[in-house]
Order: sequence, then structure tokens, then C-alpha cells
Amino acid sequence: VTDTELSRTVARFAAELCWDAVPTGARHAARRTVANMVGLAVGAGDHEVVRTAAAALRTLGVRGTHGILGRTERSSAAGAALLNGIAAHVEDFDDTHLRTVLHPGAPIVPAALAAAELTRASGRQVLEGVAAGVEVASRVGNGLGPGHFDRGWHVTGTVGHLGAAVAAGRVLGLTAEQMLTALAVAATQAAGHTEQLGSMTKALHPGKAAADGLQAALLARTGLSAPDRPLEGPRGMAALMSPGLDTDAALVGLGERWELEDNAFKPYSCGIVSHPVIDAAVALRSRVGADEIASVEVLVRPVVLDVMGIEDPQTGLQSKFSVYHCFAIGLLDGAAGPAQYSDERAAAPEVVALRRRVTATVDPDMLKDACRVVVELRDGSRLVHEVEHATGSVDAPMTDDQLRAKFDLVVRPVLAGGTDRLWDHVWTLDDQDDVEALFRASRAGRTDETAEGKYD
Amino acid sequence: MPLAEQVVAGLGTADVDRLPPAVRAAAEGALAVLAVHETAIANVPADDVPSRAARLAVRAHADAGHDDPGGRPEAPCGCGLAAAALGAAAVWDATGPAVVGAVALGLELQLRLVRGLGAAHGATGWDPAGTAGPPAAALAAALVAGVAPDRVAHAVGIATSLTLGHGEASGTDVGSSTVGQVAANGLLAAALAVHGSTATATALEGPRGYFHVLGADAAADGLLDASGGQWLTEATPPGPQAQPGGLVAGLRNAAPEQVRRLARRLLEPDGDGPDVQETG
Repeated sequence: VTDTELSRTVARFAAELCWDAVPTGARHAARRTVANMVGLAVGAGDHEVVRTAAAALRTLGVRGTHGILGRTERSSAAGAALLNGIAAHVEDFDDTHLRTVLHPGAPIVPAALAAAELTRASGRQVLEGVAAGVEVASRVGNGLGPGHFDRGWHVTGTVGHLGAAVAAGRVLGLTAEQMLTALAVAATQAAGHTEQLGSMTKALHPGKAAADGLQAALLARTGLSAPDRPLEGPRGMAALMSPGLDTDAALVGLGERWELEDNAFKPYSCGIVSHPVIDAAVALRSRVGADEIASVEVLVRPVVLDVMGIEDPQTGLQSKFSVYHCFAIGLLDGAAGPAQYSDERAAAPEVVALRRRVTATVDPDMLKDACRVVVELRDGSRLVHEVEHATGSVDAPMTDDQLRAKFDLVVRPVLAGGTDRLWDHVWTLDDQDDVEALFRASRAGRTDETAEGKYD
Repeated sequence: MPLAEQVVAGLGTADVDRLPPAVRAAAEGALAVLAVHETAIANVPADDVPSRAARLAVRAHADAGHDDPGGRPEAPCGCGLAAAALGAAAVWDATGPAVVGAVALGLELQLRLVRGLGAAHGATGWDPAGTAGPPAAALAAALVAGVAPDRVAHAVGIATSLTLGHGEASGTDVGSSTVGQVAANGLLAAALAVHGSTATATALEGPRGYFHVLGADAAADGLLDASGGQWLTEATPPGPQAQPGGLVAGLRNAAPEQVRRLARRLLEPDGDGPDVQETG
């Protein structure tokens, strides 16, 4: 494979991917990716950020018959993809391909689901699309290298566009040439920067990627002309958005070794680079109370302060990007779910008081999923706790049971009828004839029927 | 003060009635382009306001001869932001002069963003129409919506995350659709801001923000130099424009209801216009 063939190679791979040829481990990872995304979107279906976006779409006349997970209204296919993508990401509780810092589920699964609704595709086709989309997005992200993220691009918004286009394109049955066109349409729209962390726009990034990716796949069927090297061309995505393209990192082992299997699921509802600190805080709470603590020093990788450095968060969304807040709620609550990142918790006096005693020191040699925490007590003694691999990382992945427990945590509060029906649908998606039952289950028992376009 | 708020303070509150004649002419010319040609380029599949505005922008852009890969990157055409303003006028109440003023201010911001991004930006392969266009279109649409300045600033900030346009697509249908996405993305950003969505205050100038990711670290400082007193639009009018004719004449003294009818007719010349929610 040469540099000139990256776009065409991944397009052909995606167009020709067959679910039967996907190894068992990768299939399992695809199923987990979908289940995790669906649970999160249902749980956050009525989140302020989602309601705001839904209102904006209605104002702009965006209407349709497509399902929005956990909501009782409908929208256009692209509108549904946008809202589902926002909902899946807004709690920062989703998933992460750690090598690229891509959160693949939120942009990719909604595009596949919307395409499946358009064509009455089967659950198996959805999983096929998700497998193709995550694999292509992760691998192109590998090719763009860490410099892409370091420059400030929000990888979920950028390569998320590619993954969404591929996923939708696979569900729609695009040919390899059409898939290349879909990639070209998506690549030129790849956007989103990490200055938006802590704002409502961050969750818009995967939503927009899902919607644009779906549109790209649909447009590709119309035969429009497009560049044939949108990723590797001299004025293409890699040239403009990364310091350099590593084609080998993108393509070596394609179809043999699956990046999809490296998609890790978040146990905590915040930026993943601070998860080791939360593990440490949760572990320390059995040894020390907040009142006993004089000061805390957390030693972390430099990237933690790059993206999690908000010292005094004013909102729940901002608190998701504060390593200081993460330590405080980990120690005080022993948990780090959506409840710990609410506006109320961000302003709680005991949380504010503890996080002001936390300092962060960067250690360039610290591993990505590790940290060291030193606690100075008021009596002069000190406690040290080290985390080698954070919970949920590739080396300490969430089990299926843990993933189900997370699903229940976010879904149970909004589905009065319980979580079993929805879980069963999503966990056996490859046996489903279409995705309609999944959407129906996602709103079963909701009592807060939203304004318009009610189902059934 | 964060840059997006400075933009709104410096541009968004300019007195529309006192625009320099050349600036007003540029805005009216950009709007007039939208009504001149009617060649169908139906590669936008949906039927909502952003999609219709996108279709209108792409059609006007191509028919007016703007679709030239070797065109003037320092002065992208105003089709995208003008279509965004028109789309906004189909949704929210605005007088004709307010729409013209919003387009004028959008054009000015677009030029200033292009200047801020620098010559190297276009030379490396970015399409300035796609990178400078969305924030400018969001400004124009949000001004038409008539929301408070802080909401306008959020619209601009949101749109900094909706940029597009790779030179690799130049000369293809994908490249030609850039101005359409500018219109759609600007409208989306404005509507999100109207309903309360937020962007980071430093979305433009922050260390991981718009200017930085697009390769122009130092440019943010000069974005608003001499704004209010000097108009870049006077010295560098946007790409080819149409002579103001029927559309602009219709807008000059139009009341909101007349503007809305006109906007809807232009957005769907062959039909009844989009089915939008009346928001007043």
C-alpha cells in the first residue's frame, strides 16, 4: 500500500466488509459499542443540551419520521442522528479509543441507526456498519497521529465524520467508489476544536459528525463528483489537520487486527485522562476523610492539565474537565457518574473546599492510564496511592456485567418499565430484523412526553 | 473581553442606517446574487430551512461564476452568509434593512477572519470560504434573529466548530457545496444560540480554538483593528455580485412580514416554502 491509496483502501475495506468475516472479539466489541451508546443516549435524552438542540431543529423546520433514542418526538434522519449523537456524548460517559482519543460510539452508531431506519436494514447490518465505521475512524486517527489531537482538534468531531459516513454507507450498501465519495464529503466537513471542552458545543461535535456522515453517505449515492484522495492528497485532511500522515499506522493489519477491540468504555462521566485520579480517590476514601486532608498532589501526564485543567468549574459541564473536581467527588462520593457532574455538585461547598486543596503536577513519563496521588494529612502524616491502569482502560476493561450495570445506571431513571427490554434488544441486535423495536423499547415507559410528533 | 464578544460589540452593534455606501452596496449585491439564477443543483436531500438555504447558496454561487478554484481567496463570496441571513428571515422577524445590515456585518467579519487566518491559510489548502464563512454566517443569522449580544457571540463561537473546506475538493461537486454548508451551519449555530446553547467564550482565540487549529496563532490579536472606523468591505468587496434589483428593492423598506414572504419564496422558488415553526 502506498500513501496515494489510503482513501481508496479504507473505502474498499468498508464497502466489502461482511459481518461473518468479523472476528468474534471484534463483533463483541461492536455489540458493546452499540449497547453503551444506546444506553447513554436514552439516559440523556432529556438533557438540557439535547432539548436545546431539538428546539433549534424544530425552529428551523427540521421534521421527519426518524427515531430519537429516549425521546417521544421524531425528526429527519439527519436531525435524529444529530440529537442521538449529542445525547450519547453529553455526559462524557461514553467510550474511548485511547490511542487517538476518539470517542467512536457517539458519532458512528447514530449514523448507522438513522441509515438503518431509512432502509429498514437489519440489526446485523447496523453492527456491520458500526464495525466498519469504528475501524476506519480509529485507523485514520492512528494515521493522523497524536499531533492531530495536540493541535487542538476534537478527534470525535473530525475523524468521527469519517466513521459516521462509513457506517451509514455500509448500511446503505454503498459500492467502494461510492464509499470513497462519502469519505470525501465527510472529510471536508471534519471539524470541532477542543477549546469547546466544558461548553455545550462539545457534544454538538459528534452529533454534527453523525448527521454530516449520514448526509455524506446519502449524497454519495447521487453520483456527485469528489476528490479521490480526500485523506492523503496534498490539500486533503491529513495535510491540513495533522503534522504528518503515517499510512502504516492506518493500514498495517487492516482486517486482521481490529482497533475496534481497543475501544474502552468509560466507568466515569468525565474526560478519560482523569480516570486514574478518580480511581485513586475512590481507593483512598476508605483510608481518609475529607476533613483530615491538608493538601493533595496528583501527578499526571501533561495532557491531563491540557484538557482537564479547569481549577474552579462553575457548571456541571465544566466540572467534567477539572481534574481537581474529579479527585474531590471521587473521595467524597466514591462515584463519578452523571450525578457527580451536575451544576449542583460543581457548586457544593464541600466539593469546592476539597478541590481547592488539590494541586496537579505533570510528569511526562507517567503512562496514559496511570497516576500517583500524595495526600498530606493535617496530623503531618501522608498517604500515597498509585494507579497503574485505570478502570475501563484497555488493560483493565469493563466486563460485560459492569457495562450492563452502567447501562442500568443511566437508563433506569428515565424508563419506568425497567431496563431489561431495551438491553435485550440492543444486546441481540444481530438477530433483529430491523431497528424499530429498539427505538420503541428506548421510549417504553417514558412519562415526560415531549412536545410534538409523538410515537405510536 | 473574549474575542467573540468583542466581535459582537465591534460589529454586531454597528448602526445599520449609517453603513458606508460601498458596504451597503456589497451587502445588497450579495443578496441580489441569490435571486438572479435558478439552475437547480439538487444535491441537498432534505427539505428544511438550512437545507433550502444551502441549496440556494450553492445554486447562486455556481451560477454567478464564483465557483472558480483560482478565484480570490482573500475575498470569498457572500452567498453562504447571505443565504443564512435569508433563511433566518424566513424563521424570525426582521425588517428588510435589518437583513441587509446583518449581511453587511457578516461580510465584514468574513473578510476580517480571512485576513486573520493569513495568506498561508489558503495557500496550504484550506478554502477560506468554508473556514471563515460559518462564523460570519452565524453572525448574520443571529443578528437577523434579533437576539441579545451575548447570544450572538455564542452563535459565532458555536460556528467556529462547524468549519469546513479542503482544497483537495476544489473543482468537484463536493467543493462547490461548501457555500451551502456555510449557510446551513451558520443557521444551525444561530438557532442553537437562540435556544440557549453555549460555546466556550474563547472559542476564537483560545489556545485550542479556531485560529490555532486553522494554523494562525497570532492572527486573533488583529481581528478587530480599526473596526467601526474602517470597513475592509470597502477596500476588498466580496466575489462577483449581482446588481441590486428586484429582491433588494423589495427589501429596502420591507416590514418583517414582507421579508418573511420574500425569504420563503426565494428559499423554494418552485414551491410553497419551508414548513417552519412560527417564532415571532
